[in-house]
Amino acid sequence: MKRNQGFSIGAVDPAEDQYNAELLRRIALGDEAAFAALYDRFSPVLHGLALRMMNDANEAEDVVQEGFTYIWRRAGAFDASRSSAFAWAVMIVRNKAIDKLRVRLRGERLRDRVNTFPEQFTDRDEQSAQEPLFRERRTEVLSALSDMPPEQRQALQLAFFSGLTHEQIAEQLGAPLGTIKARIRRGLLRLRQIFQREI
Amino acid sequence: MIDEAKQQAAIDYILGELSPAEATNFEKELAANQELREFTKGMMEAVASTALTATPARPRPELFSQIISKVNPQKRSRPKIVSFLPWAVAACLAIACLVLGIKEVQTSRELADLRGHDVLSQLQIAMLQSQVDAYAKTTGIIIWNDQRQQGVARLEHLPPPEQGHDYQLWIIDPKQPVPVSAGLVPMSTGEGARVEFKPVHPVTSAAKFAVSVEKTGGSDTPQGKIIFLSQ
Repeated sequence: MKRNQGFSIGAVDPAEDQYNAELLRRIALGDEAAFAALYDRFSPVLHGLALRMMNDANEAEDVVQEGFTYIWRRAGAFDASRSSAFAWAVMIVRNKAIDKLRVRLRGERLRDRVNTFPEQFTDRDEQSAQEPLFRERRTEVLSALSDMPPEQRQALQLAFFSGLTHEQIAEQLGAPLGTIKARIRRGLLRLRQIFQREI
Repeated sequence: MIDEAKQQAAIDYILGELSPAEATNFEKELAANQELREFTKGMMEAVASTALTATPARPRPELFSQIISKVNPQKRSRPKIVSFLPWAVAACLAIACLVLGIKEVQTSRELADLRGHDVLSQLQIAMLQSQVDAYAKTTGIIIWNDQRQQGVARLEHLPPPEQGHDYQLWIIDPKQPVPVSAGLVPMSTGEGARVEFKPVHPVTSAAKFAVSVEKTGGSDTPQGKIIFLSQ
């Protein structure tokens, strides 16, 4: 097993991904040390993601706890042919956060959610500088996002972080659903293109 | 070439925009279409990368213990005191030893006394001795339960391994031709490490314990320098 210190490219570093997949394989066998290693690697990003989505420290912690519990129990279901271990873990935590958000959103005005949703894509914070593992990849994603037209970036961030459906986003932004979907698609294709170019 | 409609379906699938029936249909297509699978995988990485725009934040240290208690209830609730007591005593002993700098006391005599004690009779306690000057300040203790084939290692003032390397724990069993891996030693927050370990296969007798510096991810047999060896 090999492991590099951090992603050197925007896409998934094969050695890095292989290492993470191996950790998941061991976790599926009940290896707590592997679980601790994976937690150590992924938890800063996943906790950051949960905080961003929930905007509440306690709820974010619940999301991380539920996410890692799921990872422990379902590690055997991870399929490396369908995603990297990192992407798999991100989507698990995102889904856990969305479950909670959608319960919360029932009592919250959608317009408030859209209008007050922060656009955060600065890399000036000290915390991220202390997390070397994803630093380079993060910088590349931030750079790609900052190059996008603002409406594309907004659609992409709302689609990923807000817990709103595309239909709700379209409704609240006053744009046709097809336009919102196209913005999200173009934004993601752009990100994907950047990663593929650098592999 | 994946057309726009399929691209959109892949994105909707990843972002959870499809109904359960639509998702099932899409998965059938995925199974049958390699190009679509590759596209969807690439798109999944792009979507997941968006998470990196959130500011990373390490959770508070206690959270991991809470998760472990949740996923491994046996650890959380050991109702029988006979099961819990040796580990509790051992943990207290380990902490006390480290705090008081036990490496300087007449370890072998004291440990022999402890081994004779009923509660600790099933435990093997070993102090790790630094084999290289760079780790002279590191103190380490291992508590091994032969019956259960599991143990706890605690190292204080252990500097992080050099980039591209990991610390790996080994059990030296005289009946086996090579040391048996007991896994990597993940670093805790701050200087030090605590790891609960099991050998990759059962050992007959844990005569000694060792820690080596291995290439990242570890090795099947020790390849790197041995930096600690138990007494």
